[in-house]
Amino acid sequence: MRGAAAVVGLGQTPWYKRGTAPDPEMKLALRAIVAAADDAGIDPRDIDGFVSWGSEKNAGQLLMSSLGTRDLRFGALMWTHGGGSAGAIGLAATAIATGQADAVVVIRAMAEKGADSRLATAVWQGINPPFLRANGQSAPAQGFAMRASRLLDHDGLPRSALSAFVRASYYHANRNPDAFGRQTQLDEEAYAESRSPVEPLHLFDNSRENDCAIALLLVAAERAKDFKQKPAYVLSAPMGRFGGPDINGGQGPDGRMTAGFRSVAERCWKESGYGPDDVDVAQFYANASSAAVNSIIDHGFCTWENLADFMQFDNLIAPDGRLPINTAGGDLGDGFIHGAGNNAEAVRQIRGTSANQVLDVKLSLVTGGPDDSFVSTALLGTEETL
Amino acid sequence: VEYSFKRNKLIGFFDAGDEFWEALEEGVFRLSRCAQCHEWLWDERNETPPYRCPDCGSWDQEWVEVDPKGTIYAWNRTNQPFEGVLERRDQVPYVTVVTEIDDAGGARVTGMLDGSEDGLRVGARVRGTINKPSPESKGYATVSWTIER
Repeated sequence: MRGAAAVVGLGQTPWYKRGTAPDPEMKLALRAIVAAADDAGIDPRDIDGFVSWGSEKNAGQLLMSSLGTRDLRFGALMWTHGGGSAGAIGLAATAIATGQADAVVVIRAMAEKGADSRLATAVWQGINPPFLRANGQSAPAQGFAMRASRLLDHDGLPRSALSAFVRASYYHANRNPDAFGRQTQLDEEAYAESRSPVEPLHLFDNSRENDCAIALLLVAAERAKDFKQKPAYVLSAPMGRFGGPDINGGQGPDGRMTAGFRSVAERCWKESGYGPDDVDVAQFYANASSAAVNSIIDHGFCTWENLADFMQFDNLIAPDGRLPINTAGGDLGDGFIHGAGNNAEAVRQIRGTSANQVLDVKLSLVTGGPDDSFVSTALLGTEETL
Repeated sequence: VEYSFKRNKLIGFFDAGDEFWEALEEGVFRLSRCAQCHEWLWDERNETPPYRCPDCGSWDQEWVEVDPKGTIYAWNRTNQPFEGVLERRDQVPYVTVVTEIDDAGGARVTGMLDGSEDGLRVGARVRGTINKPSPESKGYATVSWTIER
């Protein structure tokens, strides 16, 4: 599957404050898909596959009448919550590589207007188990704070790593005119002194919540250059889970928590033929900074031993940090619809069109939601990386 | 016996199992192990017994009384009320802990922290108390934890 498909179209609505999008969710989805088709130079009627992840409701068959879809050939939803955001790109590439469809859209749309559309159903699916709800636990922020205590108290995660991750995200958001959090200035002191809805995390360690729709359009690599944009080839986009699922976190063989990616990342490096040192820029899904930093370790960008040195603000900044991360602002500073913004930014970095463009990008990584019970990661590359 | 939790049944994607809640309501802390090979059957990450013993393949389980003591595996402090658990609005701020049980193969069980927060950290020793169903616990009996000094 390596290099068999490429992202040739990208469409995105503006970020809106949650519950305030001017359009219903399905219309947002359609706007993003049509924009992705226009971006590539493909007739929307020729899109014949639709994939997504998590609780996405806007399935391909529901969109056909607005798009004029001629022949819907592929539709699939990847498990589970945010963990599938990057793997959905792999699902689309798999469909193309196996001849199931020719032009596949990866769509994620969220508009949280109305009681049944709040975060609880749109992302978390609102079905926390009784043992949590009987004990005052319901919000995702509580679950991430619970696991963060283990990382901070037991595993040796330095608070400075969280601070650097969060500040790098907001630094890029401040320089991205499309970022929802572009006006939030966050220095070390402001981060440290921000309130804590759930300790031991701070407010700014948690992702945003927005209305928005984002679509990526993929075609087979051999015709990727027939379209208008520089193709972003899918070198590998595996899914899976290492160390057991969710709730109380999984543990690796060293007794420290894993965000679930260890085996998934290994397969990504093996299939692509590249490793963490080759990656030019990375978008790490940040439901919470603590889980995201754990995913950076899982991917092998650093170890527990050199984590504090690696996770320095200056290392994480475009254009020339050691590993610029979350260059649109990410889930913390750009906007959050279940990680879809990270996929878009990973493509923009390959194209050279990011607001915080990294110099001479050849390999661009994007990860799915860490700590989810099922996770994924995707490595995109330029033509010369094939 | 008419169990309170059955009148207030919460549907979630994992559950500890009716036997766990029934025992708690009877004032007993029970966890599950394989009836055949006696391996503890408790997915420590999701606080739920698997349906089948992954070691010997048995589908049969037994619920064994366990001394509710262990160490704090993880904790959080909730400083604002959250949708879904607004019954605890007046208890904010409150601390919830995940306890790794001593005598049950590393099983982990979530509960509220009782009493002083002094010494609250991962690794702190705690002892459990079983509480009757209440509106705050949504009609479920619970086990809560006190830091040992």
